Amino acid sequence: MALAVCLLCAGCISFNRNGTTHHVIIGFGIVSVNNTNNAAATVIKSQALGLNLSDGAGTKLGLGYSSTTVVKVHTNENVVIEVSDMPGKPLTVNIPK
Amino acid sequence: MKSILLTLVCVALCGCAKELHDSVITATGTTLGVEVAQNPTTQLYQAKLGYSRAELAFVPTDRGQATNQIGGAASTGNVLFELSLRNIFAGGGVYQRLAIGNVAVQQAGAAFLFAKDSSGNIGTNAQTILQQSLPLMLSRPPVK
Repeated sequence: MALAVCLLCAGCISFNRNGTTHHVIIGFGIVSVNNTNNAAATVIKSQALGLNLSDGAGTKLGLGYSSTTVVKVHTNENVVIEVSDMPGKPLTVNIPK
Repeated sequence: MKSILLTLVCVALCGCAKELHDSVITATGTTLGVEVAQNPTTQLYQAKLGYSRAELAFVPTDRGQATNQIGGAASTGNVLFELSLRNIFAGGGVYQRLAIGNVAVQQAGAAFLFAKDSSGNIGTNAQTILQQSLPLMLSRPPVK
């Protein structure tokens, strides 16, 4: 019964706002990101309630509530970056020029 | 249900890890419940139960690479990194600032960024230090 309810409630939505792609998953879903582009820096924020599996840096398996913020910068880049992740506010990434 | 959960845990524990020698990685995580993750120092998987907070900063070196003849780390990336965390009972929040690369760590922009306090203001002491160090910083030949 619980499984049937979970399957009925399952859904995924992705949307892009201000250059950031957000993935919202209710129930069961997979997020795959193509990282073959030459981005100098990548910032990933993940919040999950339930079971969360990841093959990226940070949490690999979380059961319960898990929240991770990962910043990845290639060593052959010259980057100054500021990342702020405050509760109730969107994740802000600032790269001063 | 127990068998499904057990299978999921077993599947998650299997696999191989790729060595990341091309990126500086900083990660911060909070878990309430069960967490299974790879320990970056031992490369082994470990499990945590309850409330856990973890912070990680990974700066790759050439240790163990074929080009390195001395055995230890002969070269490493230039990194300035600051991580500020708020207590979860005070609302939580993560603030990070990084300068990565030979040019970036000596940039005036990096000096300004790191001179700011947690609320984004530059205090009087920081202002004095910036005023003293900026002419020297700007007079240096560009780093290649």
